[in-house]
Amino acid sequence: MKEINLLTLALQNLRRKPYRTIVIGLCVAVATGSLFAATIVLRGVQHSLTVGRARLGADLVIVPDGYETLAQEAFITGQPSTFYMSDVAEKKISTLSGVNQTSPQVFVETLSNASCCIGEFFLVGFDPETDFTISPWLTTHLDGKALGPFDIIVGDRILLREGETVIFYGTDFSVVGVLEKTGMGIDRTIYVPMEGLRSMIANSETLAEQTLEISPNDLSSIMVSVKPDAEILDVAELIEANLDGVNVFTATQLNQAVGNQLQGVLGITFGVTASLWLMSLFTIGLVFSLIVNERQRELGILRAMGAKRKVIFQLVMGEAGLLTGLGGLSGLVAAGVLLTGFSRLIQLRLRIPYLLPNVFEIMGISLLLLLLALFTGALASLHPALSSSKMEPYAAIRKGE
Amino acid sequence: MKQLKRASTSGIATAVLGFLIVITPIILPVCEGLLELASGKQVPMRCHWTARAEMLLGVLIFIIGLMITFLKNPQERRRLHHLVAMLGAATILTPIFIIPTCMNPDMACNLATKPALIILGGVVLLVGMAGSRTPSMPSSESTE
Repeated sequence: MKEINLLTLALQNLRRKPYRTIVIGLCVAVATGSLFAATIVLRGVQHSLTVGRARLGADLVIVPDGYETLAQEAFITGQPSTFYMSDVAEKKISTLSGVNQTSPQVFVETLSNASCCIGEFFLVGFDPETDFTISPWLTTHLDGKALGPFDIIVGDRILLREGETVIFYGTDFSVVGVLEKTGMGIDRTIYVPMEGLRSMIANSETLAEQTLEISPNDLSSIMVSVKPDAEILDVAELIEANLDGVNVFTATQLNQAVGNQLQGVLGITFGVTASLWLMSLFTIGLVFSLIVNERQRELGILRAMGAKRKVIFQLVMGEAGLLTGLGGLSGLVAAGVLLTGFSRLIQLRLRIPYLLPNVFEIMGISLLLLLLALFTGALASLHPALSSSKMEPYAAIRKGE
Repeated sequence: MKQLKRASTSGIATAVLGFLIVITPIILPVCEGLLELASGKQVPMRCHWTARAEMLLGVLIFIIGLMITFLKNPQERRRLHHLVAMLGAATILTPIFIIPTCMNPDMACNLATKPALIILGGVVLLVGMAGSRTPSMPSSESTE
């Protein structure tokens, strides 16, 4: 005969009413799962921004006036955007006090039928002589080899790997490196040395289906690194005061742009989740009060057989703990599976950068939420557990008849 | 009687999952564009065939689910659950290895249809495995 202990008794009680068990478990699972998903998305965005900002390298980004939103979107999601300004701006900025280094970039959008990829991709021309965005990566990953004018570096989401060749606007390029995943627009960007890009633009008239109308003096953005002793915001103001028709944004403003995009969605998600928690708390409390009332006779008999008040208290609390624990665990597993499967869809629909946090962080969040689920069960069943443990055996058996 | 009840519940669950697999490519459509061959002929992308194959698997899972629901012989049910588990595995493997979806991870088939089918296939596999482990009833009860 199987030994009866508190756990087996609690499990049997839960199995006796499968419908009720499943419904309460689902309530807890949905609340835990949504909170887990929202937290992981939030941490994923923060992680991606940290990695992406480090890769961006620049303290300030200068773009033509009126294009700051498009430029920010290009950096965050890799959505191709093309806008141009004269290279005179770069020369002026490099002479301003507080400016350590400047590097120009030229943006070109690939055609939707490019041989590597379906959909428009973002070509960014950079100057290897002055660049501080991609060049630090090149020194560690290309073993100091010089980058040829037609050698390109691609983001992680571009379907090209090292050694492959690709044609853009009739010009052949070979891939010499693939950047690590950042979850930001960099993953969908193809970096081309300025010499190769200018040659591609010049030859597009004869070699490509569509001619690129970009003048040799046109730039799309200027990346600026600020001297260590200068204030980033002061330099930004100085640039805007000295140059007409440009807009300056800082790396922090990129975070704000993402924050604004996320605010609405995450606000609603956290609001709904908080309501679900409250609902679960009240439902569990109510159901366990009903259970205790319904089982007065059974609990009375247990007391008459010698079970102490503590055992009755532990039995009711154990049932609630088991129910919320299993519900919470199922919610975490389900949310984890859905989040892993649909992470790219979420990222594209919400237009946010996203990079999964590390395993230890995910495990920590899961453990905290599981404890929260158990705490909810304990809190909700505290009153029914206390009242049931205080019942006198004889009165309980009589009442329950 | 209790085991019979459990088996029929898993039969209903299997049929519902089969139905969900059938409607997944309708609710979350695969890529709609056509590819132009060198001959000039236009053909659907390969994820189109993935979706067709998955819909067929879904229909099979749905039918077997109904059979499990109405069959009374527990041995037959267990055998059918083995089949359900295999079909679940096939549902997972089809978009990954058998008829892979498009290469670009940002295309519609890879963003929504493929993960949804893999998740549903995983649940079908679990239901099939759980059902095939249900102990068979004594012969006296099974003939009732």
